[in-house]
Amino acid sequence: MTTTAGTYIKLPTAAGADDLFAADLPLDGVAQILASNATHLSRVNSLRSLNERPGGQVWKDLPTAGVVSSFPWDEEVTNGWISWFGGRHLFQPYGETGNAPKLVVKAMLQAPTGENVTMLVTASSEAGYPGMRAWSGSASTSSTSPVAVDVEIDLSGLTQPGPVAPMTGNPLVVGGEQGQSLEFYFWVGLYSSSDSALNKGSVHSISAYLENV
Amino acid sequence: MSTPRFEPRGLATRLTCRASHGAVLAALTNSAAGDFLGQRASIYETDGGDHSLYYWSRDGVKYLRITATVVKRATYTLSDGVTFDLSIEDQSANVVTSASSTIAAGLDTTETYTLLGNASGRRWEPGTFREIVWYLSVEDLVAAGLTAGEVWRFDFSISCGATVRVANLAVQEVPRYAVDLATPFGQGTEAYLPRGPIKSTTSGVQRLLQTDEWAYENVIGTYHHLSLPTTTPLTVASATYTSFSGDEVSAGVARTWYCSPRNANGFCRVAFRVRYKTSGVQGGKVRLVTTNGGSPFALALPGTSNVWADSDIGLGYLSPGGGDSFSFEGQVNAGTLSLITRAVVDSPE
Repeated sequence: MTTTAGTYIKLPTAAGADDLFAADLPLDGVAQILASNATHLSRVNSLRSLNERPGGQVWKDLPTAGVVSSFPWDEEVTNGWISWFGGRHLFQPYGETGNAPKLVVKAMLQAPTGENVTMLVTASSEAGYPGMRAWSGSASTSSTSPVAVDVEIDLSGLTQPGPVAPMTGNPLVVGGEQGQSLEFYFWVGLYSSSDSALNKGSVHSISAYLENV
Repeated sequence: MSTPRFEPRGLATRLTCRASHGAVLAALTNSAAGDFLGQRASIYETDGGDHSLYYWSRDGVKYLRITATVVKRATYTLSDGVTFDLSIEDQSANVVTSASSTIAAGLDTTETYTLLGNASGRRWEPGTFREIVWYLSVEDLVAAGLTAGEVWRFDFSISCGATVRVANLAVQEVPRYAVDLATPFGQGTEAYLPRGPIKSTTSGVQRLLQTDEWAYENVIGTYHHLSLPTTTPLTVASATYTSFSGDEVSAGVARTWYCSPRNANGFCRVAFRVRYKTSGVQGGKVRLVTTNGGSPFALALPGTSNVWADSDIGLGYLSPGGGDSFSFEGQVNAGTLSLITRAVVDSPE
């Protein structure tokens, strides 16, 4: 059955003059709206943008195109690849469905004439050199005009929760609320098939966000 | 880590409302409000410098987590490390400096974060990177003088040794893991025990509505957060709108950024703010260009005579219902407009 109307329906302010939950009023259908709202909000609130990076130029190729372990994740941008650590992020399943969201990384890519530019994305529940244990995907373009290219990574395999145990202040004291949440790390790598500094591709506005599957 | 499934038709008129209904409703609204706190402010990479980040504070968020990843660059030299200094200022000019006991230890330059010294290893192999995690208590920061509900500016002064850098730094909200009746949302399931009275007060069913409202108004996401060091700002020196140098695909063509707007009720209002300076007394403008019919959304920037300043809060709209894109353009009446921080967040109405 449908559990939500799929939109947030505003109700009179809680504890205000028109509060539909005030004393002696029947709950009636208002509680249904409340439930629908909460279900819908838990869905949309689970999705968000994660990080972004301006971009740069790429002109170096990979020994094995599209393979995470083939990408030189330790290279400097000035050497022809872009290797970006996108950070460590908490995430929660997509509301009541229990589905994990998917990671979307989208950027504008512009290939050198006659060549490709490829974006490689990998996500893992651990920090460390991206390799075979990570989830990954890639997308390419040969367009010589800037075009939007995106890579999606299903996060449902990253089910290892990590502790969130705040210690605050100076000196540190243990915080009052602790728990655990799912977490992941992601990296973005960009390269070009040209393999020549005389024929460079461009990368712009790398944007990472969560979407529902 | 899961949101309850609740069939609203179980609450239809003339049906018996059971204790479990209230209890599940409490768990459901708690989840909508507390499980998905996700505002963040970030630095995508830095070799050091002075960075400013914006955070829209709200009463009800309990902790912020700051993560920074120190990595080697080139051949690592032992003893090279990174120091961090954090001060926070709100819109009312209240400041909490790193000397405050509310700023986590290690964010006051007293500790140098070095690597383990695996100089020959590839970056991201053991010893070539170091993750640092700090937490801040929002309640403690408010007690120290910051105003909840205002935009807080996090000023990081980061000093990196020659062979290390910060690969990523992020300030992120931490989900709530407990119900706290002293905060503006949340209710324990014990309020709905079988045969127990259900209160009509703010500790009863009204609290469910408060929690629902909080989930709508205060669980806000960040669509864009760019923080550059003061030494390498984005710039514009045009009296008509154009792209910022450093944020363009080609001369005059601004970069397009991507996001998935929150679709709570068919529209997505956003707030945006920049940290900027103008080279002279003349002011300028920045505008957010989106696919929404009301775009572009402009924000006036008074002249600052070469002093960094925070803009007012601009409002605009994204188009929900799928991925959206946006860009930024600026203009200045005379001289140069420089920009180091740019943030776009949800602003539900």
